[in-house]
Amino acid sequence: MRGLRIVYAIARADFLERVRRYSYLVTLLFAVYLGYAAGTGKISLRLGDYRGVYTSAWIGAMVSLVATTFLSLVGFYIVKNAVDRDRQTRVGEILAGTPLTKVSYLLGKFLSNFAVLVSMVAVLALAAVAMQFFAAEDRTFHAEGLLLPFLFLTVPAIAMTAAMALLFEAFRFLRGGFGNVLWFFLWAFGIGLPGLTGLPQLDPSGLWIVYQSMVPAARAGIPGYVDSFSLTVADKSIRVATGFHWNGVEWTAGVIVSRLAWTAVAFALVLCGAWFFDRFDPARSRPKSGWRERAPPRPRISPLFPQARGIPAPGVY
Amino acid sequence: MKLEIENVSKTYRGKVEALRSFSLELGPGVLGLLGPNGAGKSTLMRILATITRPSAGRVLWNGTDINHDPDTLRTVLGYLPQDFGIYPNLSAVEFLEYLAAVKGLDAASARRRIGELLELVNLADAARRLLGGFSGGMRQRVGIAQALLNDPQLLIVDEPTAGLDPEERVRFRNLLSELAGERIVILSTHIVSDVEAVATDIALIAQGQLVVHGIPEALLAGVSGRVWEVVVPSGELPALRQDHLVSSTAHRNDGVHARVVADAAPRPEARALEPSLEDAYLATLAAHRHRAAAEGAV
Repeated sequence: MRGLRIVYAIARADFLERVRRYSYLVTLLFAVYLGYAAGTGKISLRLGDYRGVYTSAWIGAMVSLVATTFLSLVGFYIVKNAVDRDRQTRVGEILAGTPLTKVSYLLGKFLSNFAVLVSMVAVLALAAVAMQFFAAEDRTFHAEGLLLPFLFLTVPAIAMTAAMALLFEAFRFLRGGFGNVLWFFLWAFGIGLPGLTGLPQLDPSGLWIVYQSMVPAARAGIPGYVDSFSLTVADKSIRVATGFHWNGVEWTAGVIVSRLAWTAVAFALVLCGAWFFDRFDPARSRPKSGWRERAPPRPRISPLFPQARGIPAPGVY
Repeated sequence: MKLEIENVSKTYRGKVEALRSFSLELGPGVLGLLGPNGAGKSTLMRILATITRPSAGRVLWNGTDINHDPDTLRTVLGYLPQDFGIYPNLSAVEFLEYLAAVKGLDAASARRRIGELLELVNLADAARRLLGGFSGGMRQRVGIAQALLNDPQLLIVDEPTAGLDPEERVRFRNLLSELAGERIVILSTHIVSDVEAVATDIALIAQGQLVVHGIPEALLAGVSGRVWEVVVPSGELPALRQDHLVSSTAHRNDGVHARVVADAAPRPEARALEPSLEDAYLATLAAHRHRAAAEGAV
């Protein structure tokens, strides 16, 4: 119970510190823009030259994939400063002088990272609801169809992002620019992993779950359709496949467990980070500048009182 | 209540040696740890605060080696690091609630304690204001409040008055004096007047080594009868500095009034003065450097 209170206190303080910054407003505006871009067709989920009718299921899947894809990439850079802030402000040194465990600290920071990203997902989910009503292609609102993709696709994916950001902060060599560049390639690799391996289970983003559900339906409902599936920044015209009805991903126990597994992996990554975290020990995080010894040390305490009359030779001081 | 530092050394990466066989034994009271910048004070503070481990030697808190069992000390430790920053978008109360939870205080105890501490550091009126709007002195007072949350037996403050204006500095010193009593307070600083005001004990550190440790009176006794005032034209000041240890100067109408530490009167007209702690500090430090240079160690 006490451990949970500590984790909560760390997460709360970090979250409040972040969300009261102007930069947080900018990130929320970014989320609003993503919603706007999806709503106006600037970003769209395409099945060849077609898209589905804007039903709750379609919009939920599309906007959640937008959230998953963009926030898992950009969100990393947004939240990858939780530990660094404590290092820079030296609040970390205060924490290091308390009985706080590394696991509790990193779990608290993870929850803060996660909460910041979830708040952006929430903005996008609201945008998705608004989008269905403004588009008015299908006025039947299915809360489950629209919101479950956010819960089961986006939330585990950003949990992974939140954890990876923390893991990168735990490793000294991944804290800076190299880590930022590496993340971009890791993210791209993660998106393509199921395609590369042929194993749909290796899908942190959940993109393939939608693919596997949508493509067979498209084959049956769109004449001449040839398995094209993409989430793109659209600059070409796109047609609405009016005869195609997709009822959304079937959230079977297997699918849900696979997504929960990614959330568990995120927690495991945090625990892994705790193993490598330096606990703000400067000796483990950076070399210290200072004077260098030239001769073997010979400790000596001056017998100053009152014998030590060692006034320096002229010019020494 | 006893803190023993036994032959502690610390070598950073690249063979940078910050501490060399440092030994000290402390009981309740205020220890002023004096030393120039880069002397190893902050490294020693971090070792005592269990943030970093010594490369050699050990630190015992009431007989327990803190390297093996750091939580023994952490539960009774209050630490204010050098250049302490804050979360600018939290209020003083929110920030203290956060650290109180981390230090293991339950919610009710934390609320009560935070109220008392904000009164103590004279910030009760600013309790709900965001820390980003606080002055340097107010932030330091929040820093000392957080260090006292768990009513520590060992309180370590590292360069707490750096960057404070004179009024804030006096206020901070007074606060530290009030906090002494049945706890060990270690005040690390390079500002002699801070130590002079509050310390019951002084340790001087230079180049990672303990140079002296004793009560202020003993340190002063080391330069008793060796502090002089000489009045020289400003053009002669460089020559005077060349030949003698000049601890301070003041420009007046009749020339520069220089405080000189020397075994004998540097000029026939020199006037003997009561030594200050600053004179003693500078003389001791200079003597150490001279000795170290003679030994070829530096």
